[in-house]
Amino acid sequence: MKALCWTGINKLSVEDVDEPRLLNDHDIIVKVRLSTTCGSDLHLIGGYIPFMRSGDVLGHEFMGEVAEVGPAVTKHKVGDRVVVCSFIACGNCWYCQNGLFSLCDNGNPNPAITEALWGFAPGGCFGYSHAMGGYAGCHAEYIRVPYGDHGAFSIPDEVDDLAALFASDSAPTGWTGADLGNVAPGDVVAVWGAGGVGQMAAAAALAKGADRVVVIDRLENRLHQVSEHIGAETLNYEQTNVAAELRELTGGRGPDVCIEAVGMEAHSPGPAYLYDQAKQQLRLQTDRPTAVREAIHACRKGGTVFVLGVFAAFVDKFPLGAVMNKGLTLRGAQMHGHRYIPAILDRMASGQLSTSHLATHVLPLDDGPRGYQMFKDKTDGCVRSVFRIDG
Amino acid sequence: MADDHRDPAGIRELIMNRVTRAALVGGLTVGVVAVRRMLRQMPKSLQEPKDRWLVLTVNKRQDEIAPHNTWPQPLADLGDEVEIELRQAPGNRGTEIAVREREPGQTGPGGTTSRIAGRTRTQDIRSALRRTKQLLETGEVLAVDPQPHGRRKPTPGGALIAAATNRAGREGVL
Repeated sequence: MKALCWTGINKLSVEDVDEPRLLNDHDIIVKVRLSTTCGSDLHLIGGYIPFMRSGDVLGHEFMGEVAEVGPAVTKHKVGDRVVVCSFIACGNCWYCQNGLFSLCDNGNPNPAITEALWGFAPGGCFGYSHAMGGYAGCHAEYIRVPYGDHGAFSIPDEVDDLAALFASDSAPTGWTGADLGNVAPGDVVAVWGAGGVGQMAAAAALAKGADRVVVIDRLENRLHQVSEHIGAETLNYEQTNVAAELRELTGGRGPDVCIEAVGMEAHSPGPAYLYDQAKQQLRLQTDRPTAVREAIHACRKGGTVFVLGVFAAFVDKFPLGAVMNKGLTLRGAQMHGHRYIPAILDRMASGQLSTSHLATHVLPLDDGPRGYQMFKDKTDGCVRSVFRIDG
Repeated sequence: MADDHRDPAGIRELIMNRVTRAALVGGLTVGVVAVRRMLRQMPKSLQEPKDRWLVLTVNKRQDEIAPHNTWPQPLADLGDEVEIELRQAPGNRGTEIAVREREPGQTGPGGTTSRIAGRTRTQDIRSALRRTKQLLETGEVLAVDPQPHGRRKPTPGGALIAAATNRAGREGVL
């Protein structure tokens, strides 16, 4: 079958690979219809998360049709139209039973790598390096889904393929940030990053009753999408002083909840960006935490900062003094999709959540390398490249 | 008296070679002694006690761990060379399974060599605990290979990752 593979730093190619097969009784095989790029893939492609092997199949956000089921699968049958959570969780360990699915004890068969990096291993993720389990990704004709009864969700008839695609990762990641960031009615919420995840975090904050939601980015086409499809306010950080704007629009208090949806390759105007870029390239830090620093400084006293963007390991000039002296709650997580996907699909079915606009470019899988290049360079107004696997 | 016929430069070279060799041997000896002394004087917090329990919590009641007094297969396979204890985890978090060797394994260079070769009892225990947890909680041990993949170019980084993932179930902080 065809699959989009990582072949080296900043190198991708579509290759012919073996089809997956059922390896465990709870597995299902999904025939992929649509898959999409994610900003966190860029960290893998660029070598910032150095646990990829040449030939690894990329991609973790997808939907499709059940093609085969293992003997212990009870929820799904061949032909079901499903969206699959990007994280692989067993559904039975203490973390899964407490709704913390991305921390599943059993989903990552390579626990030693992340235990060495972070002290404990989170769950596994499709197409997200050998540190996160070494699973083949979804930019392929077929994919094996372990724990199929837990990870795959039937799509309501009212939701089309393109909308459902983003229930795999972007939307539940946004919901994770707003929910675990404890957004409450009346709150002012600031979201850094107007990509797919930032937009979904803003939508989730509004759904949870936030009074005002402000999304910060530098790309006008993305900010325009936020205004038009999400209904949140916007700030262009290249055209205004974000901290001053946020103080002004919150009566001098600062946002109650600040959600960082940018991650380890943040951009910013000014010398901080050059400093972080130099330290990252010299491997003196693994991540560029520019947006996290800004969120911590902007957040109101006693507020919450939620780190939703993906970070690998170590950062420099972290404002711990602000966290402590302002009494902030600092929290982060990979997304606990299994917890949010059913409600997200219901919202999509009832027309309360719009996601299809994220798919600015729908391409055949053969154009995968070009799709990622456009997505990385943000050319032609690309917000997400979506791959139609059957061409 | 062959040396009598050497020219002065040759004699100087011979002396220098012997001095260099003696210095190397001396330096190496001092180094080995220093490292051994450092290891002996290492703070307790950096030394791993030989009788450490490896413990993992399973989201099951204690009576579900070994019904009919039979351990799950991965633990049973460890045989009589290990001690196994069950403890109730606090806050309804399940059962803690603790395992350790009855006779602590080899330490020092021999132990390090065994660990690199993947042949220590501690590695067996880690793997058995993880597989036991999966069997009890999910009914299966998650497989990951074979996975579809494209052409694997032989690179040092790829070889390192392959080596790390081959051992990943037997290593870690557990």
